[in-house]
Amino acid sequence: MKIEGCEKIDTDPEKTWMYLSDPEKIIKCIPGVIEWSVSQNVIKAKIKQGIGFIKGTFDIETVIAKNDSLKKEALLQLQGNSNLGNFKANITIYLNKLENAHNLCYAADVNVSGMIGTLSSSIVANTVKKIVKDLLNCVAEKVASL
Amino acid sequence: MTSNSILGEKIPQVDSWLKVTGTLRYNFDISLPDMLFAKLVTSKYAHAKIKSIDFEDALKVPGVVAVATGKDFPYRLGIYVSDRDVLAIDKVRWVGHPVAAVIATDIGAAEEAVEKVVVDYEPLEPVLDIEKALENDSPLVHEHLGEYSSFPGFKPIPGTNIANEFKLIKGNVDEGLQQSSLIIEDTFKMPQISHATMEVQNTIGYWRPDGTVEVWSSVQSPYATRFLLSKSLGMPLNKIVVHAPPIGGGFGLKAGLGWEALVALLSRKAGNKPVKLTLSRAEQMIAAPSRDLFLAKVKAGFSKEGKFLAYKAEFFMDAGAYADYTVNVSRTSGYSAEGAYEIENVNVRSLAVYTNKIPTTAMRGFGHPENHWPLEQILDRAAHELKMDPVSIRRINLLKPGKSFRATGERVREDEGDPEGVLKTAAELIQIEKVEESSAPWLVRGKGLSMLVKAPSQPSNAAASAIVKLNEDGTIDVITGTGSMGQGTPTGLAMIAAKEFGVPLENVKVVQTEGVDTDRNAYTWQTVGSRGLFSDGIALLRAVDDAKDQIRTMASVVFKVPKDDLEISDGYVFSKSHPWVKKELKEFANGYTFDDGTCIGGPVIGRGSYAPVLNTFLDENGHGSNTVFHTFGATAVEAEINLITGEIKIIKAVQVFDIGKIINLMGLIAQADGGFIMGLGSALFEEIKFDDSGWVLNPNLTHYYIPRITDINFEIKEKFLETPQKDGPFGARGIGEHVMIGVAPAIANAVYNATGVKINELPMNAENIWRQITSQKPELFYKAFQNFEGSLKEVTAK
Repeated sequence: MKIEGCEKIDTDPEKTWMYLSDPEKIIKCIPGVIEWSVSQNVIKAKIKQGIGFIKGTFDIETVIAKNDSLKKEALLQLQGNSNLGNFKANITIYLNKLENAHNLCYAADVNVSGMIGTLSSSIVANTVKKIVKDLLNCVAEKVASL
Repeated sequence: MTSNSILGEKIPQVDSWLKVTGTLRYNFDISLPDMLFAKLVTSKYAHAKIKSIDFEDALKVPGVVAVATGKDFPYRLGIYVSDRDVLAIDKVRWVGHPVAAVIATDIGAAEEAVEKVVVDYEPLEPVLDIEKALENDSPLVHEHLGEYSSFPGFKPIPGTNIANEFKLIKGNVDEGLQQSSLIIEDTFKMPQISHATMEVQNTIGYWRPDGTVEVWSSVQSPYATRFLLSKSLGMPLNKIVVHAPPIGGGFGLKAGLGWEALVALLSRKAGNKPVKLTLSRAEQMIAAPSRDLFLAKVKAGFSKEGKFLAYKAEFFMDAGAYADYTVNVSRTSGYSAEGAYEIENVNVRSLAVYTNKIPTTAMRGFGHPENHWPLEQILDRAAHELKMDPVSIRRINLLKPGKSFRATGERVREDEGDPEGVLKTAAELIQIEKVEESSAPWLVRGKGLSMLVKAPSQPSNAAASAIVKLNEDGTIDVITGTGSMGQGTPTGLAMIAAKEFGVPLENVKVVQTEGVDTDRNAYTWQTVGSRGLFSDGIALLRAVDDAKDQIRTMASVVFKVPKDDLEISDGYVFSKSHPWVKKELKEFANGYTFDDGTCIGGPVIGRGSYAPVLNTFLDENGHGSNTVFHTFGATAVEAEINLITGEIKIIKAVQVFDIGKIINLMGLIAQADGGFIMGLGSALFEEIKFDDSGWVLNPNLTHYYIPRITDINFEIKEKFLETPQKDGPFGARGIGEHVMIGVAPAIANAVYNATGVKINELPMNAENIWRQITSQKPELFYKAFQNFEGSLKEVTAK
């Protein structure tokens, strides 16, 4: 399924992108992270997350396949599995300039299986949207305190 | 309804009232005192070693009583090959493999605790493709296959992923192919599909403190379940009771052994309290068995006159992680590979192959939807190449009752049915030679037909028994072992008893309609294979004879006439020579009491049994006699194909079967229609999809589409021929599974006859058909699209 969305950010775009590009920092803003490790461009994490009525602990591996700091565009390859299902996602993240602010946009191509596959795409999309929103709120707070 | 005219009438199912009022108690409705609930921890890997299982935190969840892992239950299970564990021991073999079970006082606690069980895996390379599973260097799903026990006639090959190999050999197939004027060679495929029963599997186990085991389960075959439990757990049969309430659809899923061993053992683990396991739909489609994926590589040779000279086939059934019934599916698809035809030279090799996918088992008609899928399409393709029509090529190759021999060496009985009549009737009803106009220039219509034949696939000792009791008021109790799963057998048995005693149908109660208990009902091997009415019906007629003999023995004393002068009908026993000398049956129910108070005889309890006494095992070439009846049938369709979208719309369907003798016409029509619709689902829509790590992508009935009522907007015409089988009950044969076998090939033949496009893979959904049209006959698509554009312009211009 395709999931797309944008969230407005009011913080400095350069600082925000730098923060987002640093695996050691960004991992601390991902909701539900229990444990994690970073090795070069690979982030491994155990995340407790609910998607609709399904709640589980996911082992997630994220590869930062591309990060163009000039264009402010990154490609992430994400895969996660749990007792409840499996997912794979290719996610493009980019900053979009608005008049007085920026939009952080994402476009994800997601394949889900197992129990997660029983959920409607709107439930999965809303969950992703909420995760992104929580993540950006966290990033905004951290960037503001820099 | 008078009993004399009852056979052949349209009689509603005896449990219809209970069903439509919601008062029939299914297993889901059963609750026992102090009952606990189980939930499963399942594998997230298709193939992995279990390094450790940590459930300390799970035990801390309030309400959790115990957590069990595979090492608690070192038993091996399996109907034909003991390849199953109760819970995974040491390694997991598919995504969904139960690794542990949590037992709690309520489902919520069990679900919460499941989340807290931490399993540490070491992933292994999975084998998810049947052809790769057969390669020499493939990972092995079962390293210890050679140590498993297996039923006679099944051949697992240690050191490989082959769960069973079956061969059928007749004549010399290579010579037959050399002599052929036309060779057709192709590969066919069917995906793994779900039984999609309305009722998911749910089971209660109670390991009583005295060491006996009781199980309540949504199971088709309680006696087989009891036997397999006994064998697996090493317990005497009389220490195990299986209760089988009516089930909401079985279709093979609930034959054999399901979750019964697990819940019984969980009950023991939980301190001898009953434990209930109810699967969700998603769990059903991930952790429980489905129908095998089927791959066929076939080569068929014909003379220029259309005579089927040679058939060489390799069948591969993807059995998944545990083969269960699928070893018998491979055997059955092999020995019946020639379908309704006499072929001079046959060479079939049929394999059940383990992979790291969900396990597989029996499904309605098993082996036959598989082997008819290539066979019936080959005949249409051969007819086209030889410039014959699809009916003629079938007619000249049909088995001839009383004359032909099957490739197994079995002679086709004279009273086996009328295959030519079936073919002729189906062709006439669908008007096969008449080309219908489509309603738009981008649509085409085609007609397709498939013959079919099937016998119950059962062991040579698949027996049945029946008990008949005459009550004091003249009503009758019938007891056999075949329960109610919507198939209608209890109703048919009631009709047989009513007819035989000459009493109204409402005076007959078939006791197991509301459930079979192995310690109370009469034995029957299994409720599978369309055998119920045939096997139990024969046993019932013998039980009726026995009861009647007891009544006649008493009446001969009362009437002072010889026993053979006495007849029983219309609820009376009377003298044939002096018909006015008669008494109501009820007067003999508990023995006959004379006017002076003296009595003779005793309660009338008739006993009957049946065994297929002429059956044998099949030898290494597939030769022998392993069938009790064959039912011939034909399915025909008229379909409209959208050449732009690939969508197939059924316009009309025809179902014809030679059932020997109509017992319940309403039941037959319901089977014919329901079976067509089920066949339509597997033909057009159904496919369990896996991702590349073995996860099921569509474990629900939203993404796994089965036919809705809106898909059934066409006429189904049913016709039943009656060529009585001498040893069948009133000549009847079974039909329960036959009704879906011919659906997919008939539709594929309709597409082929309309477009020339060959359909080798199921499902025939719009996308797959569109791909086949655009790859095989792109000109059809472009012309249809131009026509559509032209029509659009015309409409726009107006």
